[in-house]
Amino acid sequence: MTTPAEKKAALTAKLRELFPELTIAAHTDGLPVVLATRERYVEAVKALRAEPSLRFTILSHLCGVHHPHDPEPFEVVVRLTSLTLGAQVAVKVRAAGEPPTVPSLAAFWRAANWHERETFDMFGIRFDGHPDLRRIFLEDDADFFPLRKEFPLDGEE
Amino acid sequence: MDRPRYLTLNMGPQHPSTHGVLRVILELDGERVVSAKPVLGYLHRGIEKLAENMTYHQFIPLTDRLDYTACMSCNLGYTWAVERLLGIEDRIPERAAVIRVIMAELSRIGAHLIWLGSHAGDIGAVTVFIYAFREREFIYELFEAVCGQRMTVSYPRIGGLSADLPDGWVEKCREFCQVFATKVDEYEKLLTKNRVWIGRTKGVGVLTADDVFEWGVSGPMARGSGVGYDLRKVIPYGGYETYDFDIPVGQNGDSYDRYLVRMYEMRQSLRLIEQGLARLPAGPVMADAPHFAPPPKAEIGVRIEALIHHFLLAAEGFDAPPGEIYAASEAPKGELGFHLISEGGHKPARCAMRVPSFSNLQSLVKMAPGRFLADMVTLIGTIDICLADIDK
Repeated sequence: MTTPAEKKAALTAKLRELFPELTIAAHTDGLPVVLATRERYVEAVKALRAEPSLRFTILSHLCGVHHPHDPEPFEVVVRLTSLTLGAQVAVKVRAAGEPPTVPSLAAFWRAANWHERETFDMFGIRFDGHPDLRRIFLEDDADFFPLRKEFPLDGEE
Repeated sequence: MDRPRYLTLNMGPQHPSTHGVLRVILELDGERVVSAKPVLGYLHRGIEKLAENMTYHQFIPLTDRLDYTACMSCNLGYTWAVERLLGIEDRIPERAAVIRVIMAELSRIGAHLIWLGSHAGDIGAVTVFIYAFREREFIYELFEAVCGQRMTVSYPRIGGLSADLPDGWVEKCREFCQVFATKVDEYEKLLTKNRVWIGRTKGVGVLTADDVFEWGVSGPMARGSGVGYDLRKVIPYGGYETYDFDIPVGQNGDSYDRYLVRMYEMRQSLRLIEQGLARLPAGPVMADAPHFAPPPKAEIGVRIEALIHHFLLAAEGFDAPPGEIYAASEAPKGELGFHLISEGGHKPARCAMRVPSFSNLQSLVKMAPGRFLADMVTLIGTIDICLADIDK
């Protein structure tokens, strides 16, 4: 039986083979993370979903992260699950421009629809090609994005 | 004059069958639903933002406020995640790990009982509600005995559990197993062959396996459609790989199959609890990880070092090493994941939550068109939503 660590290492090797031009990083526990460029992001997610030896057919989660000190501060993290491999993988992409924009997955994968709306609602990251990009939790006329780091944590600062 | 073809009807946010504050905008063609658009956010509290201003321990009670029908599962999902971030997963004492599995499964039965009672009640079988809540009461008494709380338990701690089981708890839990073993049959007697129940659930809200992948649904919703998506088996955590249990899957992917899956799951949870009770070892319930885990309660009163240690952990929290993890567990409603980013310090830089009800509810958009208005109640019930979970 393979240990979880061996499994993650094998998956990382497989991903390096599949995406030779992308960096494959890892979480603290060794879970592989594909650092996609904006141009290759949609293609990478499609490949992970379709590749017969991987079958990452479940889009578990998609969320935003704000790194205020980075030149491209907004990041989108997608989590895919493979039932056949018994593994999860993350795909990360940085948003560019003002407003920060990344390509949308919702156009071809409905599971991403509400997650992208939530990320837009909380971070103001726009998803290019999303069929229905509206706020999901906050009222439509809200003029703030609460999960951005400059939004006060503890009342008005 | 042009008359609009469809009637627009607001269902909720104040509607007894929406289980909280879900609002659905329905377009109706006579009695038929043309489209359903859920509107969320009436219960949005910004828990992800609050997490960034709290120490890791302080956040545990807020996880109770995610899926409040299964608080224990949410607590455990979070503590498992933080332990992985800290790299102390393997240092959780065996006794604590076994108790956690017992608690997670009790919580699953409790959550399924709430679902069963309210779902059947919504459809018109009010009797089931009374039966289901009778056994749920037993589970809440067991929770109350270990931590003093019935619903919002906050029983686990990072590194273990807040307290060991009190005297007589194991016997009481065995009694529950004995009593409950016949109860699932009793509920099934009321519903499984009931013509009205079959008529209201069979063929209603069909999701194929492809729909499961397309819409990202998880938990019993996915398994009802024949997809064996159960993280306890697929990516085992917390010691589940050492237990013997089955994952029930349905065939037709309709509300009736999801009902059968959840009934079968309760029996499997009972198996897990019995195995846990049989193997429950003696020993501590808190990891020996002094940087992160609080000292034993008994020592705090007699050793000054333990008192200082406890004070520091409670007042300013521990210093987590920089890192990033995603840890998913199988909550009663599906995949519950915590994505934690630490940049060092006492508070997380980001705590994103993958909550099962959110993705599951999205499938309502797919299931509703073409159904009768009255079926909306069945559909919302069969998804087993918890709005506190969805709105975060």
